[in-house]
Amino acid sequence: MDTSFAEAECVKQVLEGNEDAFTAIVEHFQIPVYNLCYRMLGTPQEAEDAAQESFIRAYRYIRRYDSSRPFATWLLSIAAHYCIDQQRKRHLLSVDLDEIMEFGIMDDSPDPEKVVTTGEQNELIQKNLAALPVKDRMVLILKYWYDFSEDEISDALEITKSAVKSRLHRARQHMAEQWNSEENDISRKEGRQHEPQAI
Amino acid sequence: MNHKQYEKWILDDSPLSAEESELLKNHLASCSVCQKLNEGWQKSLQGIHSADQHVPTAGFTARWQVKLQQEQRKRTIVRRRIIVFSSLFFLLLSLIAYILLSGSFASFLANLITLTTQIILFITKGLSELTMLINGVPSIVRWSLGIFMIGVANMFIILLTYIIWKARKNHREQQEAPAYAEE
Ligand SMILES: [Zn+2]
Repeated sequence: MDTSFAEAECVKQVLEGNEDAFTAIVEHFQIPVYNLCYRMLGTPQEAEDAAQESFIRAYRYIRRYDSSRPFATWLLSIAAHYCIDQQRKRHLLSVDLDEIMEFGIMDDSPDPEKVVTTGEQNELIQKNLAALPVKDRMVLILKYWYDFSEDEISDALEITKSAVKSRLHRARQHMAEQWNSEENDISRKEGRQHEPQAI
Repeated sequence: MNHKQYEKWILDDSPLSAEESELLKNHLASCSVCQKLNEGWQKSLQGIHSADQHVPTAGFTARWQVKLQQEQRKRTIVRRRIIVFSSLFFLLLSLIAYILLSGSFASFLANLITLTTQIILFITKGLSELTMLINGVPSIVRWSLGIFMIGVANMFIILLTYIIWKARKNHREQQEAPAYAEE
């Protein structure tokens, strides 16, 4: 992120009633916020909605911002909370209706064909991320995409530092295991094509 | 030293001493489980570091400004509604207070009971007249009308189910479509 951006000045102006000053904040932070939402939610549409909503919340709660701390950390933690809530809501919704109606039973298992053809690292990482529990995923994203320290993660998500550590450990293990099983899948497919798949 | 300790060293990125990393190296050479874990995590880490930043489509800030305006308009409407409802509620409360305080509460109650009784009487009378009317209609007409009504009700239920299902499907497609479009 560009450090020359005068965020403190912008925040001060917003507090003095200059609405346009916040527009500069949106312009400056749109990519990190959007990227966080995308990593968390997995589709452009949801990422857009979540990023927009995060900025709306930041604007509304700007008075609660403690100017002694980095603005980016505060902003990203708002986005993080919003994404976690969205994930939970989506989960509840998809379980309820589908089970009651017995319509459109979705197969959530990865499409092996797709993995082989577009077996790019990027996509694989996104898919493995999506399989993590919501909070583990967020902890991992904040740590590796945003270089948050364990203290900053614990502040942002309002969980203890030891919870951050254990979630990180679990998330890394999960990612490693998924990576290995994906690679097995691919090599099995490429190597012995006629053997029935054992999943 | 046990397996768990090595797992911790592989996964937790706290720096290891020279002695510790030597131990880990030796263990990795002999233990395929830990080796596999190490490889999986290192490759994931590589993938994470090389992953591109996702970028919103152009005009994000302009869209945000529109959204903020809509949001603010909505909030004004809600605030206005709250004011209207609370003043109505206040009015109702003061009316009740007035009735209670003015001593005419007993007569008010009496009037209310009379009115209610009259309304109930009126409805009962209407119902009995309706029953007589229905009894006058031949039974074949009554039956076919009944079956027709059941059919309509069923159709309504099926239609409702379909609408819900369709809406859910659309919602899901909307979520999935852009992911492919971006490729
Ligand atoms: Zn081992």
